[in-house]
Amino acid sequence: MLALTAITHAYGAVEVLHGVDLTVPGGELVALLGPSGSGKTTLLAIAGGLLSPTSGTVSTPGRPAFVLQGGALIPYLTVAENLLVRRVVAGARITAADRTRAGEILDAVDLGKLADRHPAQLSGGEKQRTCVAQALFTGAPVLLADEPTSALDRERGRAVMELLRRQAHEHGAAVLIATHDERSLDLVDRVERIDDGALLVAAH
Amino acid sequence: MWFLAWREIRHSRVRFGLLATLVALVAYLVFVMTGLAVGLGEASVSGLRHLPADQLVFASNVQRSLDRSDLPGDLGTRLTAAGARTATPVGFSMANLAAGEDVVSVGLLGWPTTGSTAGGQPSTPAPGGAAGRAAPGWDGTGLLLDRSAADKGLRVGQTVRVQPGGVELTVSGFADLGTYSHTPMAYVPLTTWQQIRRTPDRVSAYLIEGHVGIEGATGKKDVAGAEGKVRGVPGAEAVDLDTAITSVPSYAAETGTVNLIRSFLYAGAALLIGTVFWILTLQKEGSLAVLRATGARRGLLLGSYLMEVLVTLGAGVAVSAGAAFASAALLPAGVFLLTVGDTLGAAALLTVLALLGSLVSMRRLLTVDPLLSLGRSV
Repeated sequence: MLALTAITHAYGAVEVLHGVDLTVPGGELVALLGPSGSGKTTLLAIAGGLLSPTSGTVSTPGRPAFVLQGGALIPYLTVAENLLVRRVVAGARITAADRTRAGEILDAVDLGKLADRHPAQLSGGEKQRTCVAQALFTGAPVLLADEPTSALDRERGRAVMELLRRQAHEHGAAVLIATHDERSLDLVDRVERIDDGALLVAAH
Repeated sequence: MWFLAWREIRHSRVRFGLLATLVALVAYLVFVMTGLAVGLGEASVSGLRHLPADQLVFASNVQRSLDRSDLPGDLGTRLTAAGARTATPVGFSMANLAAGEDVVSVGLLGWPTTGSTAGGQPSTPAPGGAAGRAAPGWDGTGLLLDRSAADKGLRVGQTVRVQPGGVELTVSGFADLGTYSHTPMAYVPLTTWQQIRRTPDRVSAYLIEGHVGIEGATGKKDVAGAEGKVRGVPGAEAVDLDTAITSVPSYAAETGTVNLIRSFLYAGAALLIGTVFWILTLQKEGSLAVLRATGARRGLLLGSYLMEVLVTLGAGVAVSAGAAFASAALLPAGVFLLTVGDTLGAAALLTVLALLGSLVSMRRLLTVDPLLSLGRSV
């Protein structure tokens, strides 16, 4: 479970988050919906440990994994290596089991045949699915995604959301996505609206 | 570390190839200048390096110039009394050897072939040969030449006229005598040299085995490493062989000039390589931010970066070293001398300077903001 309690954050004298409380239980996909500048990405960065809150606490069962945007793939690594590099940054050696698991995950997101391609050879949707596969490969109990569907058409956007939903429902992950794209909100379990650094009422 | 470094190099092989080529070009210049510095230096003084001496005694006030120095020929006993194990008198002057219409410049060294050495040692120490033995092919008469003189057309048995002096001598052999101011060394009996110079009983200098006492020197300095006026021998100055070598005007001027160029090359190489890697680091800042955001330690990024720098430097330096050795075959003999030791030394210095030049990139690399991975600054 991801638990954010009384989170505030300020850039200098400007406070951009005002005591946000947010909980995402394991097995649930939660969307954080809000316009640009509302504080979504800042909250996500705090949840992922990239940014320290000015006050408040973050509780996670392990290190969260980010589902980055498609442009954030490492260009000199193949699709499979972009997954395996997560083991390298964790300080582990890549084993045959890691390669097998990476192949299985890529098959699951329908990228198995593209495992040896480089990001420059992929479409936008394929890149985004690779980013999801990266996060799935870590096996992290908490997934954080910043605008995972922003660069995709409706069909590909829904495919990515389906992957995240499956990770929550089938593998028990707590998944929090920051988005201003309302096209796929029917796939999420809960929507939290944020505006001007504060959560509004829950939609459903 | 290798996982990231090798894949980036392989994927961006054109970029890294160009970078390695740039390193190779700069390193090639460094190696060539190193070879020239050593080669020109040796061509100026290798004749002195072959002399069997710990110290040389010159006349005072001639700036340790062998061909300007002039001393009495009977100082040997006084020099051994001053501490020398042996004191061998030698004459030296620049001369031309005329053979028909051909003229070859040489450094003419008068060597005591009989009974001239003070200190009870053999009177024919061994120019060009092993210690205690005369050089092969020289019976202590005639003219013994450095092997490089053979390339100038001189041959054994040939009669040459020594200018100035006009004395005719027969070439009796060749040996590894070295060169002086880019001319081959030529050994003649000391008495012949004195005859050529028309200065009987005068010599240019003394070769000292051991050390002579120096005026004003006390304690340990009195034994070794001391240089100055010889105690009890007025008008004589003793210096170590190395000092005598660096005092040769052409040696100091040539090596000084070439070493200045080398210094600029080293500095330029460090700046150039540092700048190129800095640009490379800026270009991949996004990837670095992603790696940081996914939990990569700074050590991993730094290690990968250093591997890329070292692989690029290693490839460039190895190629350029090979090219420099190949170039040695094309350059005139006696001008270029590149040893493995000098090459490794220059390569190590270049690598260290290039790493220092890339410190700016390391700082950038260590301070990259992982928030960039989210596609914007928050």
